Amino acid sequence: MDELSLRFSRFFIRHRRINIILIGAATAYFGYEALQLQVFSQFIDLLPRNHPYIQVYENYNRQFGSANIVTAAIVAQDGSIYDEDVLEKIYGFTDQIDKLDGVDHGQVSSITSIGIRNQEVDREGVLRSQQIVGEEALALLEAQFFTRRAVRRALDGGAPAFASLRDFEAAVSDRKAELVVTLSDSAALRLEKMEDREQAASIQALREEAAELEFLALRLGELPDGYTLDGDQLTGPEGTLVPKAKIKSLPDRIHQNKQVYGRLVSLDDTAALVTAGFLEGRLDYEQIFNRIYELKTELESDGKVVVHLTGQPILIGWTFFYAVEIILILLLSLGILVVLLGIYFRHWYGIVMPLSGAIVSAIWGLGFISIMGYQLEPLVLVIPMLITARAVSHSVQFVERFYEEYERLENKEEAVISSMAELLLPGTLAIVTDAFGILVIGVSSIALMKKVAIFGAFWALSIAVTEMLLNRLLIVYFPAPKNFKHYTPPAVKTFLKATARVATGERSARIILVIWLVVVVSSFFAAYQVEVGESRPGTPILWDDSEFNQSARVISSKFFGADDFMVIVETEQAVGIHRPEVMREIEAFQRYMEQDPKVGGSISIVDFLKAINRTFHNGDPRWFRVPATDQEIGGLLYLYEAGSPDPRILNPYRDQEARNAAVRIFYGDHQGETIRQAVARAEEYIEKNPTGNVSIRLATDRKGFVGEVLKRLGPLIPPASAELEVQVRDEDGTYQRQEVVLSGRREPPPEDSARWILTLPRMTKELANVLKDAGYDNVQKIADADLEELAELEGYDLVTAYALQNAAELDRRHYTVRAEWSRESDGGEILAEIRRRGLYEADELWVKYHGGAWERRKSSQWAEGPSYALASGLMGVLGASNDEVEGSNNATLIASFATVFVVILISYRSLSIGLLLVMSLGSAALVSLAFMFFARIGFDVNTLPVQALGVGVGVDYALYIMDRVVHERKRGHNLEESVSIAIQTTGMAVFFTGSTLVGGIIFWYFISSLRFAADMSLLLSILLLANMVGAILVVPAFTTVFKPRFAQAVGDEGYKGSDGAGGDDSG
Amino acid sequence: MALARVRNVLRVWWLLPALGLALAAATTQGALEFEPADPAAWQLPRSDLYGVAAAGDLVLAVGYWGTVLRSVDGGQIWSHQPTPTDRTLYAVSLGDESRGWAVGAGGTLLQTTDGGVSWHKLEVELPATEFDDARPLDTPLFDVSAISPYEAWAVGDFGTILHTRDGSQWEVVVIPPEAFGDENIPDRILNAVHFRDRDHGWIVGEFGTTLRTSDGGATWTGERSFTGAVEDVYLMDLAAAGDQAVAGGTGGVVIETADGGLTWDSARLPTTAGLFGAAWQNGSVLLVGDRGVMFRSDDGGATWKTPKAPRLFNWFRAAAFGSDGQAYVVGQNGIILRSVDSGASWAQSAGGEPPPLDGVSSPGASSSPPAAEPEARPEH
Repeated sequence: MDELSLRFSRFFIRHRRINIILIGAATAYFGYEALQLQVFSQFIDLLPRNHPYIQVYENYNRQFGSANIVTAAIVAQDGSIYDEDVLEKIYGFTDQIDKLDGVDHGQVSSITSIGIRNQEVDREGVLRSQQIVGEEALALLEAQFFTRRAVRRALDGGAPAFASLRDFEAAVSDRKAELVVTLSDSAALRLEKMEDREQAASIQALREEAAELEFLALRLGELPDGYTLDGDQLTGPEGTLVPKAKIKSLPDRIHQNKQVYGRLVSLDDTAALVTAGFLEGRLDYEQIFNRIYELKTELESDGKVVVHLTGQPILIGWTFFYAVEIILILLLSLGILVVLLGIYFRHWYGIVMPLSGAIVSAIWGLGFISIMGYQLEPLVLVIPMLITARAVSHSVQFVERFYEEYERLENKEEAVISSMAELLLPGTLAIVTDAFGILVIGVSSIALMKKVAIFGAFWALSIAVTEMLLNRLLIVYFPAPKNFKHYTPPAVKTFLKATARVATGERSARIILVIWLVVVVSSFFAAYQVEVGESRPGTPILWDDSEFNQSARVISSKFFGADDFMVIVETEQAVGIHRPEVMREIEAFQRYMEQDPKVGGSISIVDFLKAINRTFHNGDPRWFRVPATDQEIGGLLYLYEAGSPDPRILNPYRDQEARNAAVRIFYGDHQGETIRQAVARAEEYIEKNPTGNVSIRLATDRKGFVGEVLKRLGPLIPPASAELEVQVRDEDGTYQRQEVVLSGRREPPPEDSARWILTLPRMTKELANVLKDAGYDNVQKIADADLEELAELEGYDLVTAYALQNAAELDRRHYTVRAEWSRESDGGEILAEIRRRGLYEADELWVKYHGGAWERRKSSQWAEGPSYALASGLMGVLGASNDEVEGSNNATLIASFATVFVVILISYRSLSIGLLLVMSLGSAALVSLAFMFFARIGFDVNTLPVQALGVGVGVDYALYIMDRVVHERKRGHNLEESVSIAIQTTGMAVFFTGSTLVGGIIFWYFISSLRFAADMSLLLSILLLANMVGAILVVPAFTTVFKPRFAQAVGDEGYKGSDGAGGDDSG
Repeated sequence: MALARVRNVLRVWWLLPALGLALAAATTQGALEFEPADPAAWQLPRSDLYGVAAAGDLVLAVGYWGTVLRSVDGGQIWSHQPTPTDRTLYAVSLGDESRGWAVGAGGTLLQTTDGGVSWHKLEVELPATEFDDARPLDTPLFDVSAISPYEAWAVGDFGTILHTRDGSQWEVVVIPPEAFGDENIPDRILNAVHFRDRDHGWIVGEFGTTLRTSDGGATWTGERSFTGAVEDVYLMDLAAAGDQAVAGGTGGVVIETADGGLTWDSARLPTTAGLFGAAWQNGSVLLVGDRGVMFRSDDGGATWKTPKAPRLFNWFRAAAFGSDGQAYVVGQNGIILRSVDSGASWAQSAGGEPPPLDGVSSPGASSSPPAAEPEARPEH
């Protein structure tokens, strides 16, 4: 303990009243904020924004669909789906899911959705398309579905069964009128505005009922003659709902339709798929989940079908479903911890201190989350738990130390000051290293990771106040302890004695080291093989036999592909897609990708084109091909759009200007390996088939050994410098690489940047209009704007506004042109540049074509002709996520090790302590990785923070042991004695802290419904145990064998330890 | 002093491997490089098949992406043959068991001289007109009919008719507009051609076109009248024996003639599916079409029955007879049906060998021939 610590502690305790008031006030403030904490989940927070695939995804997801998709399979239990009851349910599910809050209406797809159509040419040669089930059949199914609901409501409301169809129609009409009155009543409107969720929900339900009855009345009115109502079943003249002939021809139409068979209808005809894309912003997943499950229950009630549900929104829904369970488990953990501590200390101090610190820290932490506008999601709850565990750990140290000082000094206040001063340095160190270890997670470009890093670091730092400062204050006010002998079970004592003997014996220590070496080396080989990304179908967050995973397996076995890998085909100008050679290119690409046996099929605008072409030529299959001219292509596609009720029908396949198109390739699963193969195959094709007359790419691959290492450092280092790769096609068809000019000139920011708004990330025309209307019509104004005001605009929030401003700010800077190329031809000029706007910004490709404006290429490529941009769709997004995890994983581990090393070096000025500690950490980490391999846990976005945190959890143990060894050396013991004492005293504390923690979390494995929590509990337990063993056995063994400098004679300069006096040091 | 420092540092040397370990721990994940799966495991998708021809036990089927499937045992085992094109092949015809031709999209014309094992491209030059310079033929060719190993006719879009006498030199044949026998444009889709010998041939196509020649193509007649079918029905294929012929078209239309094509009657078949392929041998007539429909007549077209066949939804595009009552039907998704009783009953043929490794027909796989230069890059 040094002067500074002592003076600070004294000062702090002397002014205790003020300090407690300050802390109290701060807690009250945080508490108030914490009450406004919001629990929600956001899809975009999971995406690594800087990854090239995500750049492509964000550029096109508004056009071609988000990856936040619910996939549902309706499986007929008896026979096939070509049964009107089953079709009714498919209709009902599709219709109802389309009405959910948060659904992207353009992305709902099933055999009953309007976008799925068959074309035919009538006698006059007009192209007509019909919904594949048939409009008449759909109307009947709709009528039946809503009739059932209306009848059920009526019966539930006490009405008698309806005698006839006419009675029912009358009742519907009456009810409609009734609802009109109720809903227009001003009282109802007031209720809705009152933000009372229940009242608002019931008004909402009435509105929905009114809308349903509108349609129902219409449909009932359209029913042909001869329909009767029996209970809730409508029956037509043939004795069925739908005329038999309509259902009879359905299988044919479905089997012939490439868009449907195998994808929306299973290959064995027993199941139908419904997919629904959801928006990516903040959604009420709980509500979505509940409503979808209500729907499922409704449809399954008569046992004719089973509904299977998977997809990201459902997964999030499950985590919310289990959120309460998670919280209970966490509280239980805390409770167990408290009980174990009580047993250890045998005094209520041991319970109150840690608990109070944990609770106050929790309040501060939650308040902070709320202030920052972050969300709390169920899956990140594990992080606070770990931090709380750390807090408890520190508390234990303090109470122990206090006991000793009290025993020695017999004055409570003095004891507090003294123990506080002694632990100020190591305690603060430990907290700072913890906080830093969490903070480094934030290097990832995944927004959720950044948020976890920031609030986690804050929460960890707050422990400095709550444990270090608050605990001390509390003790001053509490009565003095009388009995402070803590519990030391004899078994543990003997065990530690034996350990000490083994660790200090020259020979036995060497044997220990050899064993350790073997363990480490073998762990290395196991750790090497841990996979990034999921390694089995379904999700590792839930158990294998969970409903979600079972459903995933059913879907992947019945359909040849529910997971899509999307590749975007970009061209250089409007209507570029409509060129025959571009269409044929796409066709060739699809065919190549389909050769992979894991691919179930693919779909793109070319498939539509070919089908329409065939229909237009009398159904002759020979015309199922790409037409020969632009005009024919444009004409056919136009006819298709004009012939369907929704002219946006081709939007999922190409954009309005026909400049870019999407190719979707379907796979049976989205395991990490599958994604890698998909990407490799696509890249192989692109590599072997350069397209267009001029092809420009930014090549940023890091090759070679150095490249691999740099890649592993991930976000820690600036993005790789790109090379401008330009290829021009010669007359003979070969491609020649062109010389580019390496520049380096600085350019000023553009003066008029109004047009550049659209180049900002995640910008769309609608959002740009919002900005324009609000007066922000150029980039400079956005950069200068007030952040609060921007966040208030429609469609924006704090996070988006901040990102927007950041991007705008970049545009104000000068940029460097790193390389450029240009070419003059008859058609015009082509200019290309690599621009870089900051050290940590990625290189950007900008192209100016034939006198148009400079365009920033988000996909980092451009061709005069078609070019392929990877990758979008679910697999593209997951692939990016996996890449990011792979990069971040290493980066965060390296950063935490480096932090620990540097901090120790600075404070203890001992290289050997630093190295020894890092080595201990490293081997524990390796062992935990080996465990992950054997337990088949892979790295993903969720395991990343837990792992990073967990690595730092055990570092203290070795630190305290070594600290004690030095302390004892200074007191005059020789090395062997010092180590022995350290193991038996500090080691006892280490053993207990470690085992209480493990005890607190290990039971998660047995009772958690989330496999994720179970896996993490095991992982952390292994880490803790490994660190414990490392601290009490391996590190002492090293010390015995190698006798490092810090354990040398007393008087070594550089070590600031406690003074010579003092009793048991249980650190 | 410095020496002491160095010695102190050396004391610590053993900790360097510790550091290295720590770094190794950090960098181990993901070190395993991805190896792409064994390319031999990749499968060609089952390409749609558009044409089939047989000579003895040799059977050839052609289709999408330049696919050629070959069987030497009467259609039981099939293997992929490389072809120098990616264009879709629409028809194939054999002069004998060694020589034949296949035609397809973009004016593709291939010849084989070894029974379909290897193929080489033939170029046809369109003569210069007052509007255009001479240029290679690039319009789709839809059918080819071999009269002998050296003589054949082919037809296609835009009224294209081609003829060869030596097997490798092909000429464009121009027919005077009045020969078509109607008021429609001469540049019409011609879907099928069938020659039973040097002199007698038929061509059918859109607008109800039925052209006949009995002098080896020197003159053609197109006059016809239909009973029970519209005059401009889109005709897909034709099969003939002597003066009798059967032609199938869209909407389930089937017309038959007994007088060499002057008058045609409509046969009422119970289908509205387009009939795409026809074949005739020894009184057995086959008609196959959309949605898996098949019809057979064993009395030269007087009566029709549905043969015993697996219930499939694929479209069938072509039918052909072999020897000894063998018959073949090919269609969507690579389906091949085989009969041994002249079409009375059918079974799905067994699959063939795994296709070539890189999945794309290797250019330059051709053996001898005139005018064959391997592509630097497969064309579309």
